[in-house]
Amino acid sequence: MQRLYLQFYVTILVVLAVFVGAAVLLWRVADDDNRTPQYLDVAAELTGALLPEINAPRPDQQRAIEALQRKLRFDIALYESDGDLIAMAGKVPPRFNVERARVGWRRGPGGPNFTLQLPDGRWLVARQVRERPNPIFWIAAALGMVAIAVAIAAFPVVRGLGRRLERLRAGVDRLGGGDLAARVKVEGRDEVAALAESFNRSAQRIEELVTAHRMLLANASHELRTPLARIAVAAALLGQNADPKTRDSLKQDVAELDQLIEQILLASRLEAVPTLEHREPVDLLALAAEEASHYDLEATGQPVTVSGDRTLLRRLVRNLVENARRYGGEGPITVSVTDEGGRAVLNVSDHGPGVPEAERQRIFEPFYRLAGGAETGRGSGLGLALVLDIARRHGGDAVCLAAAGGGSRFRVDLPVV
Amino acid sequence: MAERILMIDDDNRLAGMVQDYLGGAGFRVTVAGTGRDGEALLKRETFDAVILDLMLPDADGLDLCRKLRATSDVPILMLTARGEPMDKVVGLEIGADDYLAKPFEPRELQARLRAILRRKGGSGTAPSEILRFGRLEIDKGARVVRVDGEERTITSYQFAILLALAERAGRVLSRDALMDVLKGEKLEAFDRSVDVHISRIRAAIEDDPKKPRRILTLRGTGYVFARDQDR
Repeated sequence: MQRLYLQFYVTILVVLAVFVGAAVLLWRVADDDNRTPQYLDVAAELTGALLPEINAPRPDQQRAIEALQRKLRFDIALYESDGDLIAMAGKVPPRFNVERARVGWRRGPGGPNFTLQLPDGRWLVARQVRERPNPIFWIAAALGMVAIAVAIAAFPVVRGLGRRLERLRAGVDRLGGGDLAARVKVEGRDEVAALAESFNRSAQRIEELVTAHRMLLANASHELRTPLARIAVAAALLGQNADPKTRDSLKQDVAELDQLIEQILLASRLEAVPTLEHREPVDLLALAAEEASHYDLEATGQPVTVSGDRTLLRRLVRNLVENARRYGGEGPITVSVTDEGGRAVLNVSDHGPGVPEAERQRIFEPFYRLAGGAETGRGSGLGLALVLDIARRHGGDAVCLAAAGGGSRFRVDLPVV
Repeated sequence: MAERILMIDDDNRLAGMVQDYLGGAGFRVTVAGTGRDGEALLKRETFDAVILDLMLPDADGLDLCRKLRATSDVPILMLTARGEPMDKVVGLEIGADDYLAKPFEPRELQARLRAILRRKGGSGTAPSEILRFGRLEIDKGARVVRVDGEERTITSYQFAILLALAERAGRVLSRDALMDVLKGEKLEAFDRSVDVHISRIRAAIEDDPKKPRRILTLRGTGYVFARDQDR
């Protein structure tokens, strides 16, 4: 991922670099601009007046140059118009090339040179003795320092902005992850702070809504179970007078309604939390055997330990066995657990009419009913949806297959610890 | 003498029916419709046990339970219609002795009441370590096993087998592993295989030994002691 603060920062650095580069370039261009202002002509006239005639003897010329050098403290060299050295004072002058000579200030390796052409055609080259480094270097260095200072000062600002955005993102992720109490710190008074504030407000609202929804479900469950409890007690009070078949079917209905309420509650609770709340090692075969025993069935297979939520896994097995008992016809139901190369595999097979291939995925949808089948029986319609949800939550999957010899086989595989 | 039970529940019709049912079983049930009435009754009279609903119009059952627990050690059985797993844990943590979710079988309510009454009755002796699995209690100290508070007779070797299984509830235990655990136990009948002992234990503790719910056989693998036996 491209970090935002890095993007900002790199942009600032690039801008600074461009600025420094452009400044240096401008300086060069301005400097190279070859102007010959009038003062050069004046200087040439004056210097020409100070120096001996062009055909004066060399020693005179030499003396005059030395006198000039003492006064001006410049290294000075005097050349013929064709470039031959006439006289010099101070350090050895740079190589002089008439072809390329131009009047005015010029940067040179030993410092800035001042070149003049006297009215009589002689050339005078003066070099500042105080060796001042190249001004371009100084300006570039100063600009560079400013750039570095700006870069250093900008970093914490940009990093701080990035950090705040990252913290905001972490808050949004936590809320999305189901932690409804997630809030972020509001820092500063800018747009990011405003965003953080709106996030907090939205999170608050979401939390209120979800809590209200959960409370509604819990209360509805309470309201539904209260009359159910009365029916259950009343059924028991009917005692021996009642027809045992009626009493048993009444008990069955109470148990079914109770299961339906529980499944709806569980489904809504699972919706709110995308991950597992508890994890412990669970012996899947032992769990399957326990659940199967409630339907007078025996589980077979190998002991396999998976890591998961025992209550949820129990619900998964129970729903599969319950489903097989309801829709699995009269034939025997088999429950087996095996270890297939690192996956714990639970199979629940029945000998019912089976599920048409086209619908084998859809039956895991909540409240889905097989098409075409007449009244296939009662059912919460949430059972298989919960099976799939619980399996996926544990890093596994649930599928419906055709059982050998007719009927369906539900296969759940879960990762082994 | 009939045991006196206080039922604090705002569902008058349910309370009336429970009153009838438990009355027929030899309990004397008094009903309080609100938490305040219940508290007042508990101050005035003595009860052998309290049946407390978690949702009352004037009070939170959990708070009431905590309050009762602070002043008395009367056995408390919690009833709840919410049935969230959290409720159960919290209820038992703050001092309820047992917990039953609505809707319940009156027979089970009666059995659990008897069990908590018996537990409290025997509280004169030091509390020994007891494993509880719904209606089944395995008293490690006294080396006895009870169902609904009623003692069931098994031999000491059978008790050792039962304990070995119960301490590993929810896990498959192979015959070999079981034999390993029992190595230190004195064998009283060498000719009998573990399976025979298991069927004796089943006869003692299962409601229907042919349809075991507590000790399950896994053919070719071993045994499992069920963790969740009553539902």
